[in-house]
Amino acid sequence: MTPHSEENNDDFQTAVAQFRRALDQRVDAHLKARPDAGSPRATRAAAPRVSTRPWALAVAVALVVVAVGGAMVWPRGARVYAAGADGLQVTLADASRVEMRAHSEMTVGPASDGIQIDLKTGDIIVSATEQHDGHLYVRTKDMTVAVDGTVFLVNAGQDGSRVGVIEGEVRVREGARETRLRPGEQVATSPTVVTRPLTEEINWSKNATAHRAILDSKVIAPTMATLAPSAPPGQAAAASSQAAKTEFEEASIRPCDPNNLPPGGRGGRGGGANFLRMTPGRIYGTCLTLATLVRTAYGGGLLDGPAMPRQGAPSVTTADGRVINLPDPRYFSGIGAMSLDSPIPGAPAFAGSYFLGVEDGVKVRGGPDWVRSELYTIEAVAGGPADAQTMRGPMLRALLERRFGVKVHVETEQIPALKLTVAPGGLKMREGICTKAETPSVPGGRAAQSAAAVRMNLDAVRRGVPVTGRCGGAGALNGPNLLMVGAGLPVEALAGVLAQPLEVPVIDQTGIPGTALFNFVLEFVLDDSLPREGRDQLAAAGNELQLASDPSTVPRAPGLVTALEEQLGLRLERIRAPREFIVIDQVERPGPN
Amino acid sequence: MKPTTSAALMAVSVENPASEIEDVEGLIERHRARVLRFIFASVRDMDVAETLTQDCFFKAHRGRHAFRGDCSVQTWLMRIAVNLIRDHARRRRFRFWEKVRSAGEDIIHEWPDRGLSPEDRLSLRQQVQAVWQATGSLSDKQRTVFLLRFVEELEIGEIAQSTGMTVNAVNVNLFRAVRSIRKRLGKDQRRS
Repeated sequence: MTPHSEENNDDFQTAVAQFRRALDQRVDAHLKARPDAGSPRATRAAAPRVSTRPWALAVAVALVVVAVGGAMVWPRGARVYAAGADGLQVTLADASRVEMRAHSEMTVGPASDGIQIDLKTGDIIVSATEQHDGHLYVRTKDMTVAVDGTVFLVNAGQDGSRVGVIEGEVRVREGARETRLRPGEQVATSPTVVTRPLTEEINWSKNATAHRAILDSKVIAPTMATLAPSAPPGQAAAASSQAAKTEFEEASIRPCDPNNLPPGGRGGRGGGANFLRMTPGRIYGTCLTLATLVRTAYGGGLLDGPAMPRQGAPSVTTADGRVINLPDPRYFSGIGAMSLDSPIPGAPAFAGSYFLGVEDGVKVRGGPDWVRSELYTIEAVAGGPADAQTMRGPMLRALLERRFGVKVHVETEQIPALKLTVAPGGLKMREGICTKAETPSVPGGRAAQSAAAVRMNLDAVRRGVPVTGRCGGAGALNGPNLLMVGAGLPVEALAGVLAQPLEVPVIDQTGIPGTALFNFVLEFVLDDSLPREGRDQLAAAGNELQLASDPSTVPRAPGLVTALEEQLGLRLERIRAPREFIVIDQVERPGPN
Repeated sequence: MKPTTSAALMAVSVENPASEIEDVEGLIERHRARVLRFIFASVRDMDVAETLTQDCFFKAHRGRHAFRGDCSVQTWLMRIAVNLIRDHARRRRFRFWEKVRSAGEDIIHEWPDRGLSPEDRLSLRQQVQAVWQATGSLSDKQRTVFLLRFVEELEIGEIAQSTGMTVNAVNVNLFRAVRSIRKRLGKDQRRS
């Protein structure tokens, strides 16, 4: 039978028709399953219907500005969902404005004495007009915010809610407790809700610059003034003046000459392109693209570059010469970036050299091509001993805005990610002890070192006895399988280790505290469910990484997902997680210094 | 004041309420399932398809003033959907997901029992799976053209408008897609 025969043609038509039917059924089933999807319809049905489907309203609401007088123009319980990546600007009947972050969802309806917004999920910034006879309320599942006229941010997440005030005053009611918040203050309903400085929380807003300016004027100067009495008068005045001043006193930005790179600091650290060096009150960056600078200044973090130049954990050198090891970014679960906070609680991070990598278009998008190709060297001096966070954040932002005319906003996209949870059968790996000790050196490269660590720890971990020697994670090949041995590793580190071969963020949602350390063995087959690049790299390591004398005799282990569940009692499930990126709206080449 | 309906809210916000694309609810009501079906068949992940479908209508609404009426609304929506799928494919770096998905995303959700014998049901299921797998192995262009022609039943000219390809390129890609799927179906039949 030829592929074009009559019979085959009939088969083709039948199969395609059935395929179409199956697709219709799959889509209808999905629409039925979605609570906000409305009634499913046959795909080819023609008659239009008017519905109050919230999903539809969400799209419409983006452009709705209702010019109707009276107390309330919103239908009771109108749901608004900010579809798309741009978020939504909603104007309420009383002219209050609500800026919704992408993928946020709220309901707007009447309250007994005003308007009530029920925030189901996401972030909103409310610019409430003065409420003459009533109030504007924002309610989340665990608190209520009441305002008269102010600008404030509310976040509602799974773990709890958070409120921060930009201007004015709000009352936050959480159960029987009521708290008043003033500009710059935040409150969260749960200790697990992560709070960042308000100036960073509002990065996603299209009006972030204006909000930050308000915060600067209403928060920083008054706060420093209240701190003043405890300091000598002269210092207080200096601190106040410094706080109000978030710009460098002197700054130079010039095109970088890649052939004439400055030498590095002690031990060669911090020299060359893509490095940022900071000492108290001084910042020096060599041969950086503007995109890299934007990522640094607007919250991309310093250690999440696509490549690390050094082996092992990164470190910073403090002003007094101490070297502090930072957590290895590979142990982080991918979403968000490491901050430049000091690894020592309470101590400011103020000096060090940081390799920034080259922004690759993931964190910073938009703007002309030169933003990602032209290199600049910057040198800036603050008027006083500014700390690293202030210099690389607000001060660098102000510099970029002044010299490059940079205007940015933050958007959010949903990306696939994996959630690591404890499997229904319970955790199977055991807490273990690993004591670091000197181990004999092993000839060969990194692959040989890794294989040696596996050989060294495998037996002890399998027998469940404490490990002495090399602590951490190591991997080696055992026939067609990858054998990973962990010694004294927290679960979050395991999530970070898994994120590497899988090339997706792995979010630790096991609830196991980071203080619990585990010794474990995980063996899974390197099948084509894993990214090719990782498998090729392992294959390239060759015999150095292979434990088996005859790899062909080793039976295939289960795949990674099954192995995790069977061997460690952990489960990987796919989810979608938000990821922020910065969009350059406006930029121009800098003029002469 | 009496609460207004969402339709009334829209009516005061749009310039031409008579136009089909100004009536967002109606537009979504009429085309959502179809757009979702096309995107799902293209990206093979219902979560992603749902997100892209929402983006599609959002973009359609935002860009409604650019719609010149030189093609049908459906063709216009498909053009937006094709671009979204293309952008999604460009961004897709997580190959691992394709494997995870292949286990989770089964096209056959429920097969209605219409008195078919178990053998007939199995045969239908095999046919559908064969087309599903075959479309998965097509190139992006071939898959788009195949789905628009045989699932969405667009004319060749409309497909060209939706994809930005020439009519000739549409025909070539369609020919190759059909040949590839026929080959797959033939193989499966021989195997069974």
